[in-house]
Amino acid sequence: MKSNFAIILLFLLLIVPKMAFGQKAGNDLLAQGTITSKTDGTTLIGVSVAEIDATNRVVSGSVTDMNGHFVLKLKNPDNKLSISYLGFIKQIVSIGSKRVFNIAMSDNTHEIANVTVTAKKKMNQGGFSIPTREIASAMQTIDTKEFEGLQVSTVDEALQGRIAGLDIVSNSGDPGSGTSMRIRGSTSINGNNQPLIVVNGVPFELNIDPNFDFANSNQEQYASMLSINPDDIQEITVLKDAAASAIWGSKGANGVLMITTKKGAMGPTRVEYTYRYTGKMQPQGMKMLSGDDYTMLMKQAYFNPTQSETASNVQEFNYDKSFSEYENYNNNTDWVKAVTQIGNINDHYLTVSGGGERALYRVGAGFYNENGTVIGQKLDRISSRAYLEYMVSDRLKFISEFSFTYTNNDMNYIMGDAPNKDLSILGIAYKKMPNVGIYSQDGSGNSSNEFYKILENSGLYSDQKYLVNPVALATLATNNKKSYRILPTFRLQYDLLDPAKQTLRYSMYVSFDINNDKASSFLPQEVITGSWASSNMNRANSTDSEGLTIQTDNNLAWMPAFSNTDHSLLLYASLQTTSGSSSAQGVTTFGLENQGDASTQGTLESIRASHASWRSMGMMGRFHYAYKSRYILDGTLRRDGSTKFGKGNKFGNFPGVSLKWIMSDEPLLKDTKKWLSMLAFRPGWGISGNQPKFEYLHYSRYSNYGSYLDMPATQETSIRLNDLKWETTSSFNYGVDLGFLDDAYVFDLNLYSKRTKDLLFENTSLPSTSGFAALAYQNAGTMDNKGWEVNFYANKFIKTKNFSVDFKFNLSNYVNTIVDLNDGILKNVNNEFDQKNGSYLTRIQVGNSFGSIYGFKYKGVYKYNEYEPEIGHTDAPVSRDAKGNVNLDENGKPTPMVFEYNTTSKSATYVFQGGDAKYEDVNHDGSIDKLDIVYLGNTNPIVSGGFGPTFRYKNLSCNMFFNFRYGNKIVNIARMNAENMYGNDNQSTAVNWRWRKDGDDTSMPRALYQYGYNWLGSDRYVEDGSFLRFKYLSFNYSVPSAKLKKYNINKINFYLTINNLYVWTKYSGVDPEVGYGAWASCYDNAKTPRSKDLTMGITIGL
Amino acid sequence: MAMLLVLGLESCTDWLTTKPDSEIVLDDYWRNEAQAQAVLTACYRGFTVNTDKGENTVIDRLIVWGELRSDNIISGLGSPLLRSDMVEIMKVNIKPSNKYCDWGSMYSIINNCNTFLYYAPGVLKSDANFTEGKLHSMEAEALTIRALCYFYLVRTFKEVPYITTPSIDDTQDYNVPKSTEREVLDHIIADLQTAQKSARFDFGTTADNKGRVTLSTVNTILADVYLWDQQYANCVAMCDLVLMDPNLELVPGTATGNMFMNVFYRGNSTESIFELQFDEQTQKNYSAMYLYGTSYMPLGELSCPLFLVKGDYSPFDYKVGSNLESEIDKDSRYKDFIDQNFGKINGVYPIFKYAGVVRTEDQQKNSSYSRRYDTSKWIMYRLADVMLMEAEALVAPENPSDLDMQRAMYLVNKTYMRSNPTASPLDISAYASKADIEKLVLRERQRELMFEGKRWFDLMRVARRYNSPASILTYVSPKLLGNVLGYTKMSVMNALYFPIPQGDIDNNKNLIQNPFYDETTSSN
Repeated sequence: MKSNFAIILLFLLLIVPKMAFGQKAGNDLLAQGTITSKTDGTTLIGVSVAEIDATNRVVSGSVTDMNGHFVLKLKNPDNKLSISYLGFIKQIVSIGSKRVFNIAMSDNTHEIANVTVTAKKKMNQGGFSIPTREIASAMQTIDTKEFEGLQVSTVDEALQGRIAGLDIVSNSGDPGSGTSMRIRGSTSINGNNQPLIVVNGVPFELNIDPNFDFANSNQEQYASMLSINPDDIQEITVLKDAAASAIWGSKGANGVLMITTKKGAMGPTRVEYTYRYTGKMQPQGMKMLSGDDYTMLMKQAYFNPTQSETASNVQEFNYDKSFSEYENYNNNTDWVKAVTQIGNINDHYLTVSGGGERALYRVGAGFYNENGTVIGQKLDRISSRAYLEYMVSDRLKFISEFSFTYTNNDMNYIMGDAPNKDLSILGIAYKKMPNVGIYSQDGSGNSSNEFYKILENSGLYSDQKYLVNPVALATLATNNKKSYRILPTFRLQYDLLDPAKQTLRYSMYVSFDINNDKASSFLPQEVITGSWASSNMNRANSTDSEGLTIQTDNNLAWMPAFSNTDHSLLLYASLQTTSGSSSAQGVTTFGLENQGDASTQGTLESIRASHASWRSMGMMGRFHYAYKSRYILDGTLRRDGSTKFGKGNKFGNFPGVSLKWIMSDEPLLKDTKKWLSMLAFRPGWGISGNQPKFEYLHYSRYSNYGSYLDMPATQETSIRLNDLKWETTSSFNYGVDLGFLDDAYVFDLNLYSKRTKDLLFENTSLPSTSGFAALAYQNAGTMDNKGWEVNFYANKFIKTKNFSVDFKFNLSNYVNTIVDLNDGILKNVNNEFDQKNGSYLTRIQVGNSFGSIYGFKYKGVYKYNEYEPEIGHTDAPVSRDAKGNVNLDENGKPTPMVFEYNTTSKSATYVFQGGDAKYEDVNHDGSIDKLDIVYLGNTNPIVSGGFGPTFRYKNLSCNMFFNFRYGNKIVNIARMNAENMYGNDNQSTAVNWRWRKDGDDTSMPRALYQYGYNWLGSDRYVEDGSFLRFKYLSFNYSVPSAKLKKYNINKINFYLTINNLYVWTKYSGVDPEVGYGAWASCYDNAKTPRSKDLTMGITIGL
Repeated sequence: MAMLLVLGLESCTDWLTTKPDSEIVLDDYWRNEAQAQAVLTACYRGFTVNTDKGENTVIDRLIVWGELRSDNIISGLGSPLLRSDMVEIMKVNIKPSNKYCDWGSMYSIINNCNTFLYYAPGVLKSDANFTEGKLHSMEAEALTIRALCYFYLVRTFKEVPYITTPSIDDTQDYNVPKSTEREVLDHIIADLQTAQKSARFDFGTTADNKGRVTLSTVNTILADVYLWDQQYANCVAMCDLVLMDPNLELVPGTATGNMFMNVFYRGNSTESIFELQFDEQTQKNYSAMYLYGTSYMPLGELSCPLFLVKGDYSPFDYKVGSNLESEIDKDSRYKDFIDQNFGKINGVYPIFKYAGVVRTEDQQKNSSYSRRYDTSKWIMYRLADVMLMEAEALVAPENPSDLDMQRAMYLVNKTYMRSNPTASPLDISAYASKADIEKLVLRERQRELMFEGKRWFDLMRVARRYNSPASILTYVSPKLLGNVLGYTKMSVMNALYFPIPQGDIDNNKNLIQNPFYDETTSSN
């Protein structure tokens, strides 16, 4: 901290004296005069009269009184007077020896002749602005106007499918659950993969000590993007290649998302108010069994394994009136319906903006309120952002930004113990037995208002007995997170030379990020089946955390003026520092006597506390050189240092180079310019990095280990990582820009290849004989990502007087290859087949991409139990040779098909019977075992992308957007769980087609309670995940301003958006857009699906 | 400007160095006696620490490794969730991926001992108050704890990596191969012999004397190691040393179960030698609670099989000739260690040892059982165990002398008479052969030490002595009724040891799976 400020002070001292104390001390000089209007000669009241110095900085000022008179104490007679008044032309007069100024001002209502202004659009990247057409790296910018009227809580949702190479998948449909974003695939295997988010040039990172154990809160739910209101955003630029992201050095390896917020604009004060209402509905998922169908299934499932009536005599399924709980087990409850609802969003947003010559301002405030599609979910957000820019003089500018966000998120409680472990309310609803009621019922079947929970003495198997009532859990248990985030940023910009002649600009900022979170949860006893000793009983958890990050940046940009204007050069150097600290504490207790927080009387389970601080610094130099504005060379060198690494590895170097040749500007191609408006090549190369999450890894640390016999114990808790280095990604990007017919059709093509070295691996297992389970981090391998992206825009390619059409399209693909990986990690990931139902093998091979699925081949169901070809019963579980002939044993009897034949003990784990699942015996040895496991597909799509047209007719515009993925496989775990007929969990109606008796011709096996191998990981549950989603259809009508003028209203816009309109897919699950898990696995576990929404909105501007 | 940058860079490296607030880094540790003591305490703490609410504790392992495969234990039903890995072990279907093959918690204790033994001598230099004498007595504790851990490992896995260097940084080679059983046992014996030289007699308080390693603890463990290693004379010598300790004394038995309450409920009794000190707040003995039961859950996850309660296989229902050696209603251990009331009603017999406070008996000799709400300490060794170890060592040699056999009878009667006060002492004349006495000792050990993590190792010693699993099979056969595969597996000597955990096989390229579990020989 101290040294941080020292650096800032140092720079200030170097620069500030010149401007602050450089004035000549003047005598007491008084200037006075009267200001009149030239047209009618009346005196003007309130005219501003200012004394300005050579850099236009105001040194003193005054305002005319009732008589149009002013008096001003002058500082220096060398200065000038500036006289300005709204509606009149500003005048500047020299002072010299003159002391009386009677000035007549002329108003500016006269017509201005047509003026053509030509300016190069500039792109600003962290204080370094270069003309957009000279950008030589792979990036894509999107203006938020494009999704105006769309209802999103975070901007990443709106970006989905918009940017080639940016893959965004929602974590779930729960409010505030965030998304996972990947730019050009995963560069890291289990380091951080989320791109760096930069807001107005300042990295925006959540600063919570990652070491801290948040008890039952799911880290994924930390959606930091929630603290940026999408309405405040002007545009977003995605930096995709390392040549561009190298400027962010050690944090840029995953790409960078640069967000620019809206600023004030010169002009009168504008007030704008927007309101949007959204109704949300969950799409229809699997149809589950009714209570009656369920109990019938259960009785069969219990009976089948041993053909025993005793086994199937379970009182909960018997409809026996003598059973004391009979009324509670004779229902038909639709649990999914009971936990879902129509969700809604109310979103208010108000801004005030404006500005004059010297100052610009914009203040925005938003209130957002969402009720989820699952009961018990509610999210409130209050956000505010203020932007103030003040130009002290033409050369000195201060900018202050301030943003505040408060989020209050009521989430569903997620339990940590089996069988409810990590299940969402919806997940529980799909499993919960439907013959049980929501509310408990008395002996005559009258419902009480108490939620029913299965009694402790029930004989049911634990997977149902302890599965909670999801309605009770959603209603009674609480899981709340409140967070406050405040980000003030102060900036200063000073031109050391006259900007009109040559730019030499010093800029700096100091940015603070203050984050406070408070999470609390409570699980009341009314929800839990279990004894008082259970640690789930009245369990409370509370966690407080706070973090502070201070970032500074001091930079110099120099644009030398060349006499030969063919050359242009921009040089830039910057020094950045970050220092932060966070602390967190939490308490978990259970067995609380009453509802309450964790601090009241109960059994203490754990007290957690942590504190961490970190620092990092970056030094960077850049240049941008253009010759004739068509040969462009860019270079960056950044050196980063961080407290995360030990001596010798503290610093990393991150260079980047890119070239651009705008070929279409060559005189040679002058003739083709008519139709080929742009043809440019952009090769680039760069290195960017990634760092581990944790601090202090390079120390062997000793910490508290409880106590024994009242003596405190301390143990070594971490192995010192002497070898840990930055993960570095070097990437090549080859880009082509194409524009036709005056850029009416624009193509942007990129081809890239990335190599990530020293892959950071978290928690790499160690032999446990070391006394440790894992090394916190290890650099463990090399990985390649290769891919391509196409972006296409057609700007108003159809255009009549009142009507125009735009069209955009993007398509991308990437292939990931593991080049080298530590043996231990490979061995760990590549587990042996565990001979259990429901498990798929993950296999990672050097030279292959990950995401491959391996399992058995499912061939349907054995129709008959006995092999009796004479009566046509051939479809029975017998072993066959490669030709399909049945193998006979020494007695001439067909040998049965078995599971896991053991040659030593000459016995098998299981003998298949009629109605059992039939798997392909690939090696024809009569035994289904690990040798029959084959490749079933890959979870990575062949291509993905999005497209959509925009139609405009007069003041009405219509925006459509589609996104798609093609060629990926998904393992439908939700369906597997709903069709396995193995436990007490409820099943989908598909199991009504199950095999029941000899000869049944079906592909659904028989029900077997805790028995058999009917749901081995096979292609039965591996589905094609290709889809085409009509993501939204949005109408926007702005009332013609002519009609509004008489009401003094600037604008009125109406919006209507339908989100997630339709999905074309063969996938049988609720939503084919499933995020990736570890090793690019793609398991659909029935998270809350994306809803279908309808949004209506209005914006009024005054 | 350039000068400034250079200056800046110099100080950068310092600026980029932060140390944690809540932890101490190695360079700043090992400065004084208190820090050394704290790491030594961590060696003990390793036995009592419970993560995952008791799912992965050391005590779980002591019970699983020492009892689960024996005839003492079957599944209970009172568990919130049946632990399938335990069920698989009872079915003799032990896979290297079974959670209870995981020996990490033991090696974590070993690593703490290694760390202590490596760094503690250095503290002599920086702390003037830390004397050589203090250092050596603390080293004796660490050596003993390490030896005890390896002793558990060598009994359970037979061949294990023997590691004495602490794990400090990521440049070390952690791929340590297995040492032979002989090597490990020799190291254990050598360490314990070193510890004997400087172990303390007395720590001042009862809790410390029971909860920490004293000279008698060292001698007891050494006796147990000698017994396992078939060095019977050495074992007897060690046991005699322990029996001479004036601070140790059998708790007297009464019909109403005072012995039970003193030894297992209150804990730290006069006969306790080494007892892990759990408490009711933060260091709960969840294992005993969940596996054996509490007042919340009378029936724990494990229970006692019916054939142990009555019938030919029951040590409480055993006939010598025509006389009962142990009469069901007379032996107080029968009613004290197993809840007979619950068993008679439900047909499942809960374990009462460690789960109970006291059993009371009314005039009609009806027992009533009261269970504890809190958790119990865990006895590693007590005097009764040492007496019966000596008895076993005396009769184990091929041709024991009559004198030795009489002394064995005398020792057996010590514990037998305590729990059968109304019976007459067992008479050697009823036990004709050496084999009979040997079996009697085994039975008496079962009656006395059931559920204390001893039975399986008792059975293993016999199997090792005769190099055949036949004796084990006779004891556990009723448990394996109908489980042909399990029975077949248990007929192989090598199958009596656990497989090396799969995680270590995967992570340690120098580790070879134990013979019975080696993929290439057992499966197709």
